Formats: sequence, structure tokens, C-alpha cells
Amino acid sequence: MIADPPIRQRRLRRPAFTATRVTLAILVGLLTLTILPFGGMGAWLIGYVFLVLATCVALRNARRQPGSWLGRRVVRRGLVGLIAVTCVVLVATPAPSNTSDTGSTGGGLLLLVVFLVVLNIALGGATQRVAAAPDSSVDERQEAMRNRAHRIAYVVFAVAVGGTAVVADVASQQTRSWLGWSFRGGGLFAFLELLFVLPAMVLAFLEPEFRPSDVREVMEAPRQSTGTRIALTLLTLTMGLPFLMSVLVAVLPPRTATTIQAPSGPLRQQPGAPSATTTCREFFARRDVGYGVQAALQLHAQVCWDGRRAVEDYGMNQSDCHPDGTDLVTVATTQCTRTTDAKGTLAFTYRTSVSSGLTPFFTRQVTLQLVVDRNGNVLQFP
Amino acid sequence: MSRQDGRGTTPPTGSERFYNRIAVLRTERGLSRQALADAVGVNYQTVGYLERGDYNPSLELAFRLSELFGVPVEAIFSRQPMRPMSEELYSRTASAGGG
Amino acid sequence: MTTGNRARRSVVETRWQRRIAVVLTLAVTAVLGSNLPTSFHGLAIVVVLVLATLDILLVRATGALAFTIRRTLDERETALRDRAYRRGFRLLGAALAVALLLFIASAYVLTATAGPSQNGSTPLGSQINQVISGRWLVAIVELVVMLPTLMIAWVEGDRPEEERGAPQPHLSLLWLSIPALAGAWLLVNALAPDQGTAPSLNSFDTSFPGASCAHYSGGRVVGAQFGATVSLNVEVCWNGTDAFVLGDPSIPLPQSAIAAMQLPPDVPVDNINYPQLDLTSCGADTVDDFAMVSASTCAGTVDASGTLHYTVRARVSVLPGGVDRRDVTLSLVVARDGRVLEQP
Repeated sequence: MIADPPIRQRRLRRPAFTATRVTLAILVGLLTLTILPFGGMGAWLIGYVFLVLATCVALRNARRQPGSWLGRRVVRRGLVGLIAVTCVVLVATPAPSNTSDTGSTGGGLLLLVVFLVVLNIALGGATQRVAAAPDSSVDERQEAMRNRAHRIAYVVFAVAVGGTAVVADVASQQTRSWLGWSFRGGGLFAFLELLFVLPAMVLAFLEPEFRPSDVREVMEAPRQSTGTRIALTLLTLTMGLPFLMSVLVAVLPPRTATTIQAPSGPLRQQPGAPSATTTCREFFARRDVGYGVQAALQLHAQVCWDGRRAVEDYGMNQSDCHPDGTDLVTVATTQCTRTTDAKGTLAFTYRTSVSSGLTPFFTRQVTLQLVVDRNGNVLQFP
Repeated sequence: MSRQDGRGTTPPTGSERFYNRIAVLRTERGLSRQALADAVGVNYQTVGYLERGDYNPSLELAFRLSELFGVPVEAIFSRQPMRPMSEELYSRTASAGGG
Repeated sequence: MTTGNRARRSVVETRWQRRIAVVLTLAVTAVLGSNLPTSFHGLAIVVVLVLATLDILLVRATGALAFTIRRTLDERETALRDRAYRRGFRLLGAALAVALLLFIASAYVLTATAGPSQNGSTPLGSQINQVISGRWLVAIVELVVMLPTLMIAWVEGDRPEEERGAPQPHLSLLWLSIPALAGAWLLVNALAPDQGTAPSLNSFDTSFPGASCAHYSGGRVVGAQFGATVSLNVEVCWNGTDAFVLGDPSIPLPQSAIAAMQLPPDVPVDNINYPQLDLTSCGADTVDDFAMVSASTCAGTVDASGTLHYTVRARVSVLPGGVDRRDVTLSLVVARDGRVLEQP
């Protein structure tokens, strides 16, 4: 790929409003609007967004040296393929049904968009941003190449996007439903992506392999500058972090906090509850699984016993079996039961299966259990 | 007729092929590709495309090259494979002297 | 240069004539892509044919350069064509955004100028979800297909006098597309099966004493977005005794509903069952741009078991006089406990 030229050579002057900047502005704006309602997402997601922005800045400023992986034709075509696949996945991703849906749907959509932004920056670097350059910044060869890429992109867009929309809108009720559903979800992002980035994708795909002889004499720096190394590191981190954190859901040991205390409120006096001479205790347990991509499960119950049997005052019903919070994970309840045996021992089991939206094949079974006998001995907690 | 579409890896067809002496003229004057690119106002990668014949310049660019090298356009570009300049000059000198 | 047998000149030869044609094309496209007028009452096909005529004139004026993929284009034509596509692509996003803004703005203008109906009800926008209506589809396709040609027509300079009127026999065949378009429209309306609309996006929170309510909206698409869409838009309440329609005074409330209101004896029933077009409207959401909808009737009856039978009937035809008319019926049956027994 082409090295960054020495200072004396005319550089591609970046205009104020390029397609990439407009894309970034729209996507960052949409991302912000998407993140804001998800108040419970945690600081890590905000940190991740800053990491993405830092990666984008580093990629834009990285010197592109000859032999740089980013400029090789196979890498450029791989980038184009990745963007195309991401767009297809986006089209198949529905919008979150509500602001509390931070499970697989909302989280997956968010991460796909971030992934796409990073790919766009990398693509711009690989093509020297010729596709978005104004006439004054390119020579006649680059202008012809750029215009040709736009012509091909226009036809591809018209057929692939426009044609699909027209056919889907006319064919049947089912296709019409799919079109409306898709545009309310990830399909809108895919549409914007192709609208702004397709010419750069065509250019990256068609541009010939660079010739080392074209750039050998402008090599002034080591093969990889510090800036390029930093950019590559940040890029690897940005792409790998969501997957790493998803795997941590299954790998990291869960963190548990428990409290047993005297009842903090009045007894609810359930039917069949022991008399006022009974003893009661309030049990609170919280188990956090994963970090960043995480779920918080809790058990908050009050149990009373009188030497004959232990009974539940509150907190051991079906409606109490739900996660306290989820960040980009899906929690499925597999067991929620309360039993009392012949000896008067009360047992409550809340068992779940936790998996990340990005790596649903990595799951973890998490169990919270409370067993109290008729004399108040805690046999199992949590 | 030539097509200005920037296709580089596949040489143009026989009817579109232009030969040139850009590399020779550039080397004779001790110009790097970078310097030549700066002088005629193109990207330095374009200089490589021109030298290999993978890109046919516009009339304007051809004349800029002509002015820079101080030789006629037809001395830089040709539809036929070009003989070395020294051979051309020597044969002309010999013809003129022998006449 | 033509000699002797001079070809007839096109209507758009000079640069300014082409630019006027471009402006007219964009204006007609803007009309199609907006909400004004609210309906063409079956005459949208005329607008589409006018648009097609303008398109053909522009394509002929530019020599169909935007659609030429032959390798015999010279370098000037190639550069002009590719430059037009580049500008066209960059403008495409802006054009679609402007079209969307136009659509939304015209909807707001309509709502503001419609005014409240009797008793303060204001008609909302269409409640049936067509995703992309037929006229908007035409506007989008027009922009996508013709934008590069519009760019070339706008940018290209005047040809020399002696080159104007050059014969273009192959482009004359383009005029056949006008009757072809009209024929395709008739065929689609005659042969395309009826379809339902996409699931409704609207939800309401209506209350009625002693009853639960739900809103039902849907439609039947005749002619695959290039005919008409007959709509059903009704608010249904049920109280365990009867299911009934709310917001349409032509459909009387059952006694069980009136009794639940506990009205003073001197208050007429009409005061409580006034028209509420945002809840129940007969034909208000019907889309009849490309075909005419007539004889729309909405009827609701509650049978002895308290089940509501609500039926919308309409007649759709594309030709004047209703020669090719097609009767459309939409039925909604709701039991007294709110179960939907039949829906369009």
C-alpha cells in the first residue's frame, strides 16, 4: 500500500464534510440515542465507546507504510467482505423491543454498529479515502478511478437495496412486514452504511495490488511506525474485547455477596404463617456473573420458623425469579421451585442459564439456593 | 481511443497501448518519482502507472510532461514500441552528417 | 452532421430546455413523494405517465448516456457519465432524506389544516401500515433510476447547431414504454391477488366504563400497491355481555354499554357516542391513488350472543365507469369476551 508521502508532497486534503464524517456523525448520534435509555449498561460500555473513538483516531493518523497489511488487496477485499456480512447480519437483527431489553437484541445491535464503524475507518485508510475526496484533492487517474467506483456502486445500490425494497414492498404481506420490521431495526444502519460507504467498498475491491516499485523511494520510516503499531493494537483490542468479555461470562468465577439479618420490615403474615412467637430472618444474596457483559441475579427472601416447620414470608414465588440486571446477556430461568419436606425444612431453588448475545454457545448455569430447617439452621445459602 | 478509467493491473488492449519514455527521461534528469509527481501535479502512484503504460494520460498531462522534459509529446509517447533515445539521436546525426 | 434528410428536433435540445425538464421532473417526483394531494383518486397513473414522458425526453436529450455500457464510449463521454454517477450517488442520500422530510412536512401540514371534526376529534395520519405506498415507491424508483440522467442533462452544455436533431432511431423505441407502463398497470390491477397490509403500528389506550377496548386496523391491498388499499379502522370494546364499536354514531351502542355509563335520564345517548375519527373511521384511511374506491360502507351488528360483526365493503375500479370493478370485503368478528374470531 502507499506510504504516507513526505511533507513536501501534496497530501489528500480532507474536506470538511466527507461521506465518512457524515456516517460517523449519524452513527455516533444514533449510538448515543440508543445508549442513553439503557441507563443500566454500566461504565464499561461508555469506556468501550471511548476506546472505539480512540481507535478511529489512531487509524486515521497511522502512517501507511509499504507492505502494510491494510493496503494489500486480499486484506482490502476481506474488509469489504466483512462489511457486507455485517450488513447482512444487521438486516436480520430486529430493534430492541424496549429500553430494558439489553440482552442479545440490544447488545448485539450496538456492537454490530460499533464494529461497522471501525471497519469503515479501516476501509478509508486502505483506500486513502479517495472515494470521498473532492476533485481538487485527486489527480486525473484517481478521479477516474473514484468516479468509476461510484458508477458501479450506484448500480449495485439501486439493484441490491432499491430492488430489494421495491420487491419486498410489492410481493406479499409477509415481505412487506419484513421490510417494515427491518427498517426499524438493524436494516436502517445497513442502509446508511451502503449509502455512504459503498463507493469506498467498490474502490477497495477493484483497486489493483499496489506495486512496491511505486512506493519504494518514499520509504523513509521503518516498516511499521509506532503510530501504526498503536493503531493495530487498538484495533485488535476493539474488535476482540466484546468477544473476550462474552467468553468471560462462562469463564470468570461468579462474585457473590450475602446478608442475613433480622427482618427490616413488618411480617406479611401469610396464611398459615407461624405465630408471633416464631423467629424470622431476612436473607439477601446477589451473584454477579461476567464483567461488562454480565448478569446480576439475586435472592431476597424472608423465612420464619417455630421449631415445627420453616415457612416463607416473602420472596420465594415465581414472580421473584428474575434477574436484577442484565448487560448484553440473556438469562433464562430453568428452575424456580419452593418445597417443604416432611421434617419442615424449607428449600427454595432459583436456577438460570446465562449466555452472552455475542457468543450464545458459551453458557453458564447459575444457581441460588436457600434451605432452612424448622429450627432456623441455614443448610444452604446461597 | 484510450479509456481513462484507472485500470492498472491489466495492460490495455493492443489497439489502446501507448509506449513511453517517462522512466528514461526521469532517470536522465535525476528525478525521483516523487519529484516528478510534484512537478506535474499528480499522485506519485500515478507516475508508476504511467511508466508501466497501465494508464494513458490526458492531453493536458501529456503536455505538462512535455514541457517539463523539454521534448515534444511524440518523443515521450508513441503507439509503437520506442527505440532507445540515444539510438534515435545517433541515427539522425549520422543521417544529417552523411547528407 | 445530417444532410438533406434532417431529423425532427427534440423538444429539449438546448441546455435551458433540458434544465426546465429536470426541474419539472423533480417537481412531479416531489408531488408523488409527498402527502399533497392526499389522494389522486385513481389518477396517479396519469401523473406517472407524465413523469415517464419527461424521463424519455431527458434520456433522448442526453443520448441515454447514463445507461450506456458499451465500450465504444469515447473518453469524454465516459468521464461525463462516471462524473454524473458520482454526483448522483452523493445526491441520492440527500434526495431520499429530502423526500422523507417532504413526506413528514406535508403530513403535518395536512393535520394542521384539516381541523378538528365534530366534538373535537382530530383525524390522525393513516393508521394502516403500507410500509411504502405505491406513489412513494414510484418517487423512489424515479430518483434512483433517473438521477444520473438528470445530472448529465443539467451539466452538459449546448451542442452545436449543426449537431442538433441528430437521428436517434434506437431511442425512439423508448416511446413504447408509455403504453407499456399503462398496460402493465392494468394487468397488475386485473391479475394481482389481494394482499393484506403489514401489521399495524398504532396502539391506543382507550377506556370505557365497565369495558375493555382494543384498536383494530388493517387493510386489503388491491393491485399490489398500484391500485387501491381498502382500510378497516375500528375501536372495539367488550364488557362480557356485548362487544361493540366505539366512535361511530351510525352503529348504536348496546344496552349493556349504555347502562354502564349511568347517564342521567335527560342526557341523550348521542352525546356519548359521538364520532371519533381517530378511533373508528369508515374509509378515512383508504388509499386510492392508482384506482378509484367507491360505495364504501361500514356496518356493525351485535348478535344475540353479544358477538360483534363489523364489515367494511368497497368497490375498487381502475377504469372510469367501473367496468373492471372488484368488490372487496373486510370482516372483523369479536366475541363479548374480547376474543377475535375473525379478522382481515
